[in-house]
Amino acid sequence: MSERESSDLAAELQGLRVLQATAPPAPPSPALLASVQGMRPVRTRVPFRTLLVVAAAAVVFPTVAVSIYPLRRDLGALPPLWFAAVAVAWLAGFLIPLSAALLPRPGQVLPNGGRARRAAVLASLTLVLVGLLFTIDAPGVTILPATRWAGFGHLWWHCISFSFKVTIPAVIVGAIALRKLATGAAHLARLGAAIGAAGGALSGLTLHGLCPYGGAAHVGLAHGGGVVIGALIGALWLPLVAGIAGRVGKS
Amino acid sequence: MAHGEALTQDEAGQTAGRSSDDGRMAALMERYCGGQVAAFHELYAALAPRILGYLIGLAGDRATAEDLLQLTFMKLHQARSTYVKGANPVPWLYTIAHRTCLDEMRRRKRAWVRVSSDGNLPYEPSVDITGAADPQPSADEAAIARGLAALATLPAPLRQAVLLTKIQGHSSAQAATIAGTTAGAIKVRAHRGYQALRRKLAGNMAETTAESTTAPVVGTP
Repeated sequence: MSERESSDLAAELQGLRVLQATAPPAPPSPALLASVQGMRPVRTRVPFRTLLVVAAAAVVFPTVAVSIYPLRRDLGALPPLWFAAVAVAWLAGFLIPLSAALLPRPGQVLPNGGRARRAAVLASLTLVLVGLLFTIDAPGVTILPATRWAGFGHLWWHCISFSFKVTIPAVIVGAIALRKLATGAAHLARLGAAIGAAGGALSGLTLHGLCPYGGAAHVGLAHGGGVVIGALIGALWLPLVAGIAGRVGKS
Repeated sequence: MAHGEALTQDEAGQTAGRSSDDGRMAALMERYCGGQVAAFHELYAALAPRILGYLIGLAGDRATAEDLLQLTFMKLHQARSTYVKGANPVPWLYTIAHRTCLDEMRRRKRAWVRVSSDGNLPYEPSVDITGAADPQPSADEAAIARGLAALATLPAPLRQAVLLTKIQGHSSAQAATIAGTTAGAIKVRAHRGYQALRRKLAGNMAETTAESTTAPVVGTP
């Protein structure tokens, strides 16, 4: 590029910069002014309160399940340290993505979509791997699912459907809470993925204490799979439900 | 900026100025949410020029950008209950503006009416009420038009990164907050976008130069 072309380029980019400074906008339109003139004070959003509401929606079914179903029968035969460590992993899988989806960074209005997406992916992969690699069974006490596909599939569906009952209320309540954010479907899908993954992880935590079936494949693919499917459900449903809730709110 | 890298005096001054500006915007937004109409007008006066500049860069023409600006502030008004007390509303407003622009572009694509086979309309000289033809665009206006046309050819994420960092002067961290991505991704996109823009503008200039040197000289026998 010649020196002249280079200086012309700089001038054109400078022109674009000048454009930013010397473009006085039109005053607010009559429709906007009318809306503003008639406004009332509004109560602003408290993200931590939203987090508590969504967490409460997610916790309802696990609370019911823990009060109805007996604890897993091999609980006494399992190493307590391992049990506690895995429970902490599931709990972290619930709290970290939920916080990423609902709590903005200090000084920001919107939760960071990229951070929420990364939290959802990380929780999904980690918890599947924890199930596949770190599951311990008590020989003779833990029930191991049938190795045949039909038996394995039946129990897989049983635990996955359990996770739906935790994930879906969390995603719906999250969508209602986030419906007015005025961001796009892509941003809401990322937040939804994190909320869904959090629901799946809470379901995994509950199953960690309740599900009598062991085996790395069952825990990894059914309990950990609940996190992956929860993230997918959240990513697909949250923008849809938020859109519907927004329209219902307006009408 | 990488962690541990010392801030120069200018940068430190800019950062301090920016944080005081952020605080002022947060205070205005709080008063606006509290129902003070004057706060809305102050906020509009402070932010509308910046948002308009951003929208011109995204949309490519001022008339559309003016419409989008009004829509953006209308959406802000409707969504003001989702504001978080003490937060800086500026990145949020940029996000709303970006979203509004994308929605509008999609809507226009769906409602597109083809009026010519190659997408170009024949030149129609316009006149003002005195009957005189519009004056030729100035060199500055022509440069801006070329810049906007080149900007429009960039993929949307690169265009957004170039607009926010190279043209609007946001830091990578601020641009990342607006775009909902990481500062690293913004740096990469801005660099690629800037390089593509330079190539595009250089190509345009080479074409213009070639045309001017090969054009027949009118009036020679």
